[in-house]
Amino acid sequence: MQNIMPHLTLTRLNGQRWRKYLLICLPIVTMPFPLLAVDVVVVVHPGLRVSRSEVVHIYRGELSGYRVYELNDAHWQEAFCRDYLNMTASDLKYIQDQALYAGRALPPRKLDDVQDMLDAISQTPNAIGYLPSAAVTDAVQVVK
Amino acid sequence: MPPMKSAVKRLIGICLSIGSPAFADDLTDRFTFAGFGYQDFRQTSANRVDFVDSSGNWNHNFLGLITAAQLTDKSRLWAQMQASSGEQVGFTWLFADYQLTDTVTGHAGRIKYPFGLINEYIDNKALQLSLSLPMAYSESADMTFDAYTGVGLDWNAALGPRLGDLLVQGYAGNTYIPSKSGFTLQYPNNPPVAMGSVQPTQNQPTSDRRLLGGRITWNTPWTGLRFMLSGSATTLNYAPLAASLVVTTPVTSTEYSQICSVEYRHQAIWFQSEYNLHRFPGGNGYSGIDSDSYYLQGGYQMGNFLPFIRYESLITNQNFSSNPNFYQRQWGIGTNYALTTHVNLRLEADRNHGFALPIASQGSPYYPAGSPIPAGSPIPALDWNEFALEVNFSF
Repeated sequence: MQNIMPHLTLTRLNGQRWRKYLLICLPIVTMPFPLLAVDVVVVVHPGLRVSRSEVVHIYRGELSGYRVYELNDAHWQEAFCRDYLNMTASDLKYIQDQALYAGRALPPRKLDDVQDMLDAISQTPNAIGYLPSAAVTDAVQVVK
Repeated sequence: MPPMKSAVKRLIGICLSIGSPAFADDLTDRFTFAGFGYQDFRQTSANRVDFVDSSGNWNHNFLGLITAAQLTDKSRLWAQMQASSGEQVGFTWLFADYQLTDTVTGHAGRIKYPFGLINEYIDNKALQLSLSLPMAYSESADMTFDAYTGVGLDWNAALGPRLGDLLVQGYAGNTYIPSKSGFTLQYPNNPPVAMGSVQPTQNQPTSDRRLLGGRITWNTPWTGLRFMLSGSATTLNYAPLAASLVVTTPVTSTEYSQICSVEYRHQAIWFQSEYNLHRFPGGNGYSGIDSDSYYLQGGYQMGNFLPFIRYESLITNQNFSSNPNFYQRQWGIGTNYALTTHVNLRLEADRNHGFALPIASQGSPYYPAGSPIPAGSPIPALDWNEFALEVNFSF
């Protein structure tokens, strides 16, 4: 059978041309995936210092002094728990409920939409929450 | 009277603002409400334990309401009100906390006793894997108690991403045991005695239960895996006993409780195991009692179903560990079914060998060693079953 794309056959490429094609094709092939993936970021009130490793302790109720918010949306909850806490939303709820019913820590306040989250974080000095990355504005600060 | 005018103005201001959305927002911001409850049906094939017998009944239920009020930026007031079949309506716990630093919080008031995996939320069945409580937590076994009145300190220490973190808790005060409407306690309300020497009596008065204890929880870097070590020492002052009993001198003694716990709960897997040792050295003519208990239970989430299996062992007096009056071993199997995110159904069947809990809860008669069993008296069944259904909820 005749090769209809002889110029793309790897066996015909020397090392330099192979690298060139790879560099061109890789961004094109991978470009759609970040758009498809659920991309969530933790945000805090501007000026508040929180490290990524502290996020898990804050959401488990182990660090006090923060006003903690959650989106009332299972999709974003799962994405946040997976990306930042390495657990499921159900695992996190179990931990938060234990702290609540033992009288140790209050659960995060649930907000219905992204705009509410932006407002709450930007207006509350010790606030922490999470957002879809596309919704981030200058009014909040992303936790690196 | 200027101050009076000022007070009236303030009162009018408050009255006017009550109906305003701003007041509602303020309320939502300052108060948190939560609650839970359950209703059980339980039946045994033989023996009577915690008011359950072969006829079965719906007498076990609980409703708890939790309120947390933000007093200041650093302080909150917590309370849990309860109504149940076993205890009078009242506050299970009621305390104020104060955030001393980002990682240290102090508590004062009536505080839930931090002991083992389950004790702090022992009444909230929605946070438990199985229907039956592990026997170490049973009121009849009397190895633990509800709450303490005093002060406590919690310290959260992050050890780093490779080591996880610690929660270190310390407390001091007096034990708090709510008034019981039906249940009776075995000991130390009963003097611990050797079989055959003194017939146990119920509700021996104690004048004080001074308490000192702590718990260390290690949340490991492996998500969902944690270990706990809890211990407490309680000083008891017994009132003089009735003249009909052998021992008549007042007693001051100390009871010790320790429990080591492990839990793994991640995604579909849930595993818990604990070993509990309860020591009562006795003294002044009392013989001491050592009790111990352990259990292993595991479950696996499959959609809305969470089936589980459990094995446990209880010895209420190690001096008589081969006497079925004082030991009980149990296999349990059952399943949860999540009806909604807030409502859960449960079904459980247990197979028991020994009858330590029926004896401890005074559901079955106790015959001292060597004493003749009165004619016509029921004899506890060595092997017996328990069946239970439950609906529980939390919100």
